[in-house]
Amino acid sequence: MVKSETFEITKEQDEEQGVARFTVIGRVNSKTSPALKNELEDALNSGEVNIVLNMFQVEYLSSDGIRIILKIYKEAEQAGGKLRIEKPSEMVRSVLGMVALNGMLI
Amino acid sequence: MRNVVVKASVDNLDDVLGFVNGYLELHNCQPYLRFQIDTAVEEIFMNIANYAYKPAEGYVTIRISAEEKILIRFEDSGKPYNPLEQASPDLDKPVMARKIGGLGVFMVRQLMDEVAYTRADNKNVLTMTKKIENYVL
Repeated sequence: MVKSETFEITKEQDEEQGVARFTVIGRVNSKTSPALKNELEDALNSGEVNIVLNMFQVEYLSSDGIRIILKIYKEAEQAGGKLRIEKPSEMVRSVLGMVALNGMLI
Repeated sequence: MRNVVVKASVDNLDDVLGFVNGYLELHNCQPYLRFQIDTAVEEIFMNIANYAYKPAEGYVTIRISAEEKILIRFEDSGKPYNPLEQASPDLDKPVMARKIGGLGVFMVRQLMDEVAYTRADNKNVLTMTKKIENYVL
């Protein structure tokens, strides 16, 4: 778990669905996205290639955050897994829609 | 018009957003409009912080006004760089065929009504404007 004033990420194993679920809270921007990247890369490196990002409580997502999500998405696919976003907040949905990623990631 | 001068560094991102948001709040700007402007400001500020002066350091001036429309202007004395010349991202391709970067400037164009760049007095000057909708004086 990583926590700062404006950002928090927690991880849990969903045995039933066979995924590692990350709940992201707050602002995903240039300052906080390195923590997101580290957490997700750690998961990939330890063989957890099926990743779910719960973004229900994300109030902000910058292009830097999208870049990290796309990077991990590609790495997960290459490793035979999958990354998807569940319960995107209105802001997340709006930003992903702007760059035509809604249908692919959610 | 108000302005703030900060070192072009990621450490100042929160201060810059605080400055812009404080101004917008003062002018009764609606949350969704604030979010759109916020996103555009972060993208442009981070571009300057990451590229304008590297590996040296420098400053950026951010000006804001809200008369007929909201106008935000960034001025830096770094390397000449017009972000608007960046190619548009390949949004028609499936995710695996896409490049992972290059979305920031595209997003700014989507979020704001007008974005313009000039090089004047050895400065990069980027100006963006947004119509004020649902705006209460």
